[in-house]
Amino acid sequence: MDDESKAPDEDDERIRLVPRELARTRPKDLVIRFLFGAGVSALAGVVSLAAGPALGGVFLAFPAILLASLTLVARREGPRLAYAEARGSVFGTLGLIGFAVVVAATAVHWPVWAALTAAVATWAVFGLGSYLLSRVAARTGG
Amino acid sequence: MTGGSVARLIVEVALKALAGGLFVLGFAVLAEMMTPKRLAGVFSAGPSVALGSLLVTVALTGQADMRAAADGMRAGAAAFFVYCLVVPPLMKTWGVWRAALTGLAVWGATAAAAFLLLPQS
Repeated sequence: MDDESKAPDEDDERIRLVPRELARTRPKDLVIRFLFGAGVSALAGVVSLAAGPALGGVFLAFPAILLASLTLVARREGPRLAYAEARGSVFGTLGLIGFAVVVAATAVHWPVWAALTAAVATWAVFGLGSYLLSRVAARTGG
Repeated sequence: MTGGSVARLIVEVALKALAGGLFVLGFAVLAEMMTPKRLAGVFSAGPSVALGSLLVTVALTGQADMRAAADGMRAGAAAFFVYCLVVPPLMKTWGVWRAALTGLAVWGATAAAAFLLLPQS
């Protein structure tokens, strides 16, 4: 069995940042992601103007970006890697809940930079932290 | 509503779109470079749209609106969590597109319920 055929069982893999992977990404795929991001942000902006910032804020966590990513990964790298990405995104959403709670709690009390820095740090701790814990649990559990 | 105020609203939405798109692009580039793919998934659920949009909100309308937006975002994020629990099992039987689109309906229903139930700060 070659390495490539083993690849999808991917949580045995080392965590790496591989810049050359970016060369495999078609510019069109990045443009699609930009357009999805711009579209969701515009939707949130229009809802904010029409129904108030709180209702508009709901769309700041609209999963369209993940949808775009999953369909692009499925087409380019196959459904198994898209499935792996979908499973990993649950950890990111734990961080996203933390991000929103921290901004809501600090926005009017702290300087903007401090509130957003604390919120991003919270996302990283909860999102990446829960992902790392799941790896450790998977290894110790079997 | 005057022509000037309509133009201002259009500029506000356009700036949010631009900022959100750029942050999404940044997170997407990070996700592309990450292995394993489950870790890349963490970045696909990053606060990209939120960062772009909140920065424009606070610059144009102030911190009170930023807090209100974050209040609403709690409901969206809780619904996103449910979306991520529902979609992977569906992907195995329905494929990516049908699973992801069904997940959007689940997200909408959960976000609406959470928005009504969560206390505003």
